Amino acid sequence: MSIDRRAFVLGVGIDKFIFDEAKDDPSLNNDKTKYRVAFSFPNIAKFAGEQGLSDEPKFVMISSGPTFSNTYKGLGGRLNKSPYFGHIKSIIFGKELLKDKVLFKEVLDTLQRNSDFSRSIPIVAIDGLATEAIQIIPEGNPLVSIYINQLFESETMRFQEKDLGELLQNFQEDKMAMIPKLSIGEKDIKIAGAAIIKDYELKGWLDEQQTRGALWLRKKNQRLEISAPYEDFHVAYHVSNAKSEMKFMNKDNELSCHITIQAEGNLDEFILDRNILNVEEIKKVEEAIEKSIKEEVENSLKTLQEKYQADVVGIGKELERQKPKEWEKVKDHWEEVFETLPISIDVQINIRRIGQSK
Amino acid sequence: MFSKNDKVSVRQVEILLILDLFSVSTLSFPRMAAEIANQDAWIAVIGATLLAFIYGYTITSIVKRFPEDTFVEFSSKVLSKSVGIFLSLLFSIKLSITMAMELRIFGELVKQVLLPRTPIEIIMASMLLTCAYLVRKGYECNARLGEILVFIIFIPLIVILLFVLPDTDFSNLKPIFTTPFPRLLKGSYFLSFIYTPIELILLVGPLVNDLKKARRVSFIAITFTGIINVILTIITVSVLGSVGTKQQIWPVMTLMQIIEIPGAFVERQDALMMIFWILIVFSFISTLMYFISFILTRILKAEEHKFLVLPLVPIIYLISLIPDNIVEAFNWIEFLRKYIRILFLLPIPLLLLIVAKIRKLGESIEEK
Repeated sequence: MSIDRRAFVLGVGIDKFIFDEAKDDPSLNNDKTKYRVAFSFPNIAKFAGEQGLSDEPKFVMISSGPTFSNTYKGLGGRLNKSPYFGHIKSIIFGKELLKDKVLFKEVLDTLQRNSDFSRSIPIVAIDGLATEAIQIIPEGNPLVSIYINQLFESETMRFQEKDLGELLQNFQEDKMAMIPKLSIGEKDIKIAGAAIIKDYELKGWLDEQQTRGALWLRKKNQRLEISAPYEDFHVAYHVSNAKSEMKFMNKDNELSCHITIQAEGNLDEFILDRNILNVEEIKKVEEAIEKSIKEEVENSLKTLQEKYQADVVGIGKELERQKPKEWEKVKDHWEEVFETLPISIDVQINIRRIGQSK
Repeated sequence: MFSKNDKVSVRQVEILLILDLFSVSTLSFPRMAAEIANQDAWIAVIGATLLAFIYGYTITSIVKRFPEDTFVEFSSKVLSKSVGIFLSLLFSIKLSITMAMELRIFGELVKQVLLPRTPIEIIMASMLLTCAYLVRKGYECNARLGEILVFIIFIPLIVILLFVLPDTDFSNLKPIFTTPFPRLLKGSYFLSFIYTPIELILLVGPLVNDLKKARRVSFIAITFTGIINVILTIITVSVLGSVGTKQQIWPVMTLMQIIEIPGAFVERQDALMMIFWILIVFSFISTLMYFISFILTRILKAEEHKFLVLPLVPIIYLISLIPDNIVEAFNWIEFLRKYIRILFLLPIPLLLLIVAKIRKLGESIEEK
C-alpha cells in the first residue's frame, strides 16, 4: 500500500462507552457498543509546509463499537485512507475503562496480539475521558500524543514511565501495575501521580508525592529530585545516580524486609552567606536530606500497603528471586502478607558537587 | 555437461550445517525453553546442546565407516536391502513433511508481519520455486550460497543483539536452579530436537571430499549454534521475563520490537529480523529439498537428481496447505517431534553402528 493512502495514527485514547443522550446517535444505545475510541492523525500537509486544505494541526476521529478492532475498522466509511498503527506515540486509557475488568483485558489482548503496536509505546491513564485528552492542543506542541511521548524523556522524573511492553509484563507476572496519571487543563497537560491497577481493575490513584516515594524503590534511578527542610530554609538536592536494594529476613517465622537506598548527586540550593565548604556541614545537610527521602518513601509504602494492598513496587518479585523457598510459603496469600510486612528503610546519600559558591 | 556440481569442501558443509541448525525454530525456541523451565530456560538449552553432541557423535561414527555411501546404501548393506529402502523412504517422507511445515510457518509469518495482503499461496509458491531453481543446480551451488549468506545473516544479527542489551534485566533470570532436575532433563531432551538437521550428515558422505573431518565439523557447528541459542535465550528471558516469553508465539520477534536503534527512523525492527530469518529459511528449505531428491535418486539408482526436483514441488506445496491454521501446523510439528525425529538422530544410527560392528562391515578407523 502506498504511503499517501495511509493515515498514520499518532495517538489513541480508549474509553468505555457511556451513552450520552445529547450527543450520541440513539442507535448506539444498546448493550453491544462498549468502546469509545479517539484516534488522532497529524495534518501532514501542514507540517510539510504545503498550502494545505485545512489549517488544523491534527484531526481527531471518535468511533464507537463493540470491540477495539471494530472501532477502527468502523473508520472505513469515514476516513479516505487506511489507518496504520506502526507510528503511535502514546496510548491513553480513560478512567471508566480501567474500572471495567473485562474491557481492559480485551484492550490489553488487542495491543499484545497485533504486531503493529510497538512495545515501546508510552502508556498513560487519565482520571476522566481519554477521548477528551486527545483533543487538547497543548501550547508547546499541538500534537498531544507526541507531547506525552516527549514528557517521558524529560529531565527530572516526576512519574514512573511505563511502556506497553513493561505494562504487559507487569500484568503477566504480578497481575498489577502502576500507570502514570495524566491531568489536563485548558491548554496544557501534565503527567504526575499514578493509577494503581490491581487484577485488571482500577483501585485508586497515588498523588505526586506518593509516586515519587515509590520511584526511590526502583533498582536504578536517575533524575530524581528532593527538597528537604534544613534549619529555617529548604535545600534542594538533585540525584545523578541512585540505587536501591532489598533484603529479606526471617526471624521466628516473621518475615521482614529491609531496603537500602543509596544516592549521589548535586546540592542545587543552599543558604546564602553560609559556608558549606566543610565536612561537618555537609554531613548535617546529608542527614536532613536522608530524613526527607525516608519520610517520602515510608509515606508511599504505607499507602500501598494499607490502602491498596498492592505490591506495585516489586517486593514480592524480589523475594521470589532472593528466597524462592520463602516465596513458595507466602505466595498464595501474598496480599495479606504484604499488608502487614514490616519494612525498614535505610537511606544513604552523598553530596558530590555543591555548585560555584562556597 | 557441468551439471554434476556435487563435491563440496568440509568448510562448506560446516557453514551449511550452521545455517540449517539455526533455522525455523530460532524465532520460537526460547518460548519452548521457557515453557519447560521458566527462568532456567537457558540451562535446558545447554542440556539440549550437550545431547546434540551425542547425536552428532553417533551419526558421524556410522558415516565414517562408509565414506563412499549415503544412508540409502549403508543401511541396505547393514540391514538387508528391503529394510534399507524402507528406512530411506521413511527418511525422505519425514524430510518432506518437515519441509512442508517449515514452508507453511514461513508463509504464515511473512503474511502476518510483512505482506498482509498477499495470498499465502503466492508467498509459499514463490519460495518453493526459487528453492527448486537452486536445488537443480546441485549441492555445490547450495554450499556456495551458504558461504555468502552466513555473513549476511550473522553479522547483522549480532549487531542487533547488541542493541537489545540496554533493555536487559538479568535479575529476571533469578532464582537459578529452582526447576527440578528430572524436568530439566526431560526438557533438554525435548529441546534437543532443534538440532535435528544434524541428521543430514547421514547423507553427505559421497558429497564431501574429506570425510574424516566430519565429526569435527559437526561439533563445531553444534557448538556455534549452541552458544548463539543460549545467548538468545538468556537475552529473551531477561528482556521479556519468563512469563512474557511463554506468552509470545515468536518471542525473538517481540524482542526486536522492543529495541530502539538510536537515531534511526526505523519503527518496525521486527521486519528487519524477518529479512535475516527469510534467508535462513531459504537456505534450510533448499537443503531439505536437495536431500529429498538425493535420497530418491539413490533409491532409484538414477544418474541425476535434477529431474526429480520439479515433481517434488507440487507435492510439498500440497502437504504444506493441509493444516487449517498455524495451530494445526504446530500440532504436526509436535507429532513429528514426539515420534519421528528421534529415530534418525539416535536409535537408527546406533542400531546400524552396532550391527555393522558385529558383522564387521565398512572400514573401521581404529584398524587403519
